[in-house]
Amino acid sequence: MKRLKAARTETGADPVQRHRFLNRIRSALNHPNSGRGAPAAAHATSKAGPHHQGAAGARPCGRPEELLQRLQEAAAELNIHLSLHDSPASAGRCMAAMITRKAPPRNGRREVAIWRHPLVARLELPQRLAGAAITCRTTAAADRTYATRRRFYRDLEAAAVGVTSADYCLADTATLVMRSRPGQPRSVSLLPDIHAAVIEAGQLLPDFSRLCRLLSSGADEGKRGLTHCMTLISGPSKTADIEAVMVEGAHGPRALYLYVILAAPIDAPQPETSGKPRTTS
Amino acid sequence: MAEVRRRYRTIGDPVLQGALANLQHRLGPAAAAAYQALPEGPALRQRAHAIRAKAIADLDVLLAELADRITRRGGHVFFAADAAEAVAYCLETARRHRVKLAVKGKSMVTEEIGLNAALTAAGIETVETDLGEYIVQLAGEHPSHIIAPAIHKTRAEIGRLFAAKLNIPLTDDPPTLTRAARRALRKKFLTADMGITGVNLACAATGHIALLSNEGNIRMATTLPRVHVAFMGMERIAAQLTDHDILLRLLARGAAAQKMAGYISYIGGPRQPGHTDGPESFHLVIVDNGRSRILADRTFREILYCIRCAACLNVCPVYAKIGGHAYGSAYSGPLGAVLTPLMKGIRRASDLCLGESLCGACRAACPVDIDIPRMLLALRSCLAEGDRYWQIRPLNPLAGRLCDIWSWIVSDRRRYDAALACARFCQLLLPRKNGMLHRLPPPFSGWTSSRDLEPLARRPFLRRCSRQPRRHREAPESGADRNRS
Repeated sequence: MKRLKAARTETGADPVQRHRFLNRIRSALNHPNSGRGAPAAAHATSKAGPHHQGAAGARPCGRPEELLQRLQEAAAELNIHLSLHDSPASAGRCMAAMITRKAPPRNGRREVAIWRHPLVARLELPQRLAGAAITCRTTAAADRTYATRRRFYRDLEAAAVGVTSADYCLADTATLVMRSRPGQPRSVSLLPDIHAAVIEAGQLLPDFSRLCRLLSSGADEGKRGLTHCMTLISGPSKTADIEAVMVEGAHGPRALYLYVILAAPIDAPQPETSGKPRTTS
Repeated sequence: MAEVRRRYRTIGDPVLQGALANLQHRLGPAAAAAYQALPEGPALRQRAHAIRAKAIADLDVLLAELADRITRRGGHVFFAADAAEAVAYCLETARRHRVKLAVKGKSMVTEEIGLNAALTAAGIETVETDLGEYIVQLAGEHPSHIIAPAIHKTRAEIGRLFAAKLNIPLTDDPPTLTRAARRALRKKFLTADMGITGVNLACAATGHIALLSNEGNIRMATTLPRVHVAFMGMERIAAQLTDHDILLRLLARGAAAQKMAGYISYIGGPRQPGHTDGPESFHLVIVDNGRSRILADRTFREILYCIRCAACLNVCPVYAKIGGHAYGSAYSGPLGAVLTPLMKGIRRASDLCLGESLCGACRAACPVDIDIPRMLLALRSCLAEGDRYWQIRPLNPLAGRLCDIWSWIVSDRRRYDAALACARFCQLLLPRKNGMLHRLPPPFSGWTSSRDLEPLARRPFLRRCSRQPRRHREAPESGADRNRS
């Protein structure tokens, strides 16, 4: 009966159930068999916890050129199509050409889904693709009902390319880091056949360790935290489940195109703010 | 005997033996090389061990912190004492949201609690979406490896299976088969009401669960359906994000010799207002199911440090021969040989800990440096000597006495020589077959129940050596070769 009652509470957080569960752990940690006397040290784990140090911590952050080179190596390993550009216009031209060349028609139409994002907007994709009869849908930042969300997914499923930016890019593993924001749905980097992402060189971080330290630091980025959903993407979707043969395009995108803009023409990123994304939420 | 033959039929299957050998050949050395290539070097494994030990020692505090943070974002956290409670909660959630179709990401703990069968019995279509798991589910089988569930199936078998179940032309081309599965599963993803996943590692300080995949199926299951239920074994938690840095990098290396998993999703709650996608309702089910009992015993607590990467499976000589199904539980390989007896009863699953080779390969491959051989020995000692905490009575008190006598004999040269002389005389009375001892009298009869025993040599080896002329030492190579062949 108790079990059913617990299951029935909508929150799931039946305080009795939780209390009993955690007490079982406490007594297990103090069990005579465990040979330990003191109760589990109830120290604060979040802020006061010792921050990770050591070899990785001592590694230099890396100069931009060096980070770019590490990114190029990692991208080649993961079959990511990486291209470097001097300006958003050049990246936009290159991306439009790729989309025109690669995007297969779905149900007789050719569509591209685009994040509502300042850097992506500067690529001017709708204007560039108008000539090729490719429709661009920019994701709206509207709160949707479940029914309209389903329709959104179906539209997205029909799109050949999803265009996004990212919060950061980890050079060592060519990993894109994206946090959830209104107008920047995570499904745009997931449902279309091809994922194209554009970032500025200033958004490069050396590696995952640096990201973890940045996000758990007391600085702005740490306070903003991970949001309710943070996605890390390294390369196209892949599987090796049939006789260990590597196949790209398992469930997600079969190809990943990454466009890095080296110097932004409007305001070049300052070295001390280079870790911060230039996004508005 | 028939049961044994059925369970270990893998050994007689040349295709599967080839697949297992190939898997180990590919992943075993690659993972070792990946540890070497770590910027911090392979010693990072010891640091990861310490991180896991600390997290387990603070488990109550960390779980409370995680639950509070997720609840604050609007997620639901349910603490399930056993499998039945976890399954009941999932069924109740499914009923409340009128779920007809659930898509599942690969998860060991749902396999452990038997979730799929319960959902199916409740009339909810449950589709595994990891390609390997999908193949295994279509074939009506169980996974045989933690990260390569369909390693026991050949591409030709999968081709025939897909042709029959998915109505596609017969082919054995992996890319074509993958695309067929992708098409079939896309439809499921877009219509599913519930996404079910496991948890690779939770983070207490930020209040998130981290989910790793390469295929993207877990991202689908956590993004598209309107309900997301995540199941986690209660030990799968780390204190802070910087611990995740070390553990997730080691996990990707141990599992697939990757620097980084293809996709990592940090999920801390349901869709927030104004956001375009994500589930409306997020549930985290934290499962005990016997883990607190293991936690209380310091001898075996270390097995809770495991992060389920399957690196030990990829190096284990026993796994390579018998395959994952022979372990008779969701958890196979050296990890399963320790965990399954502790969860299902040490006596009931005794052949798992007795069947391992104690070669130590698993410990060398473990990304968090778990001493599996030590725990296998401890399990054997529980079986031999009995253990009150695990409620085991020693199987045969006589065996312990005989061991005491044996150790008394071999600890003295003269006693040993006398015993050998006695045995050499006694064996003349025993029946022989082709020069081998065919049957020993009780209590030694077990030794000859399935094989013949070489009789003791008439002259002991040491005495023979001392009389050999020296010339044999000049050609040790040829001698060694002859012995090997």
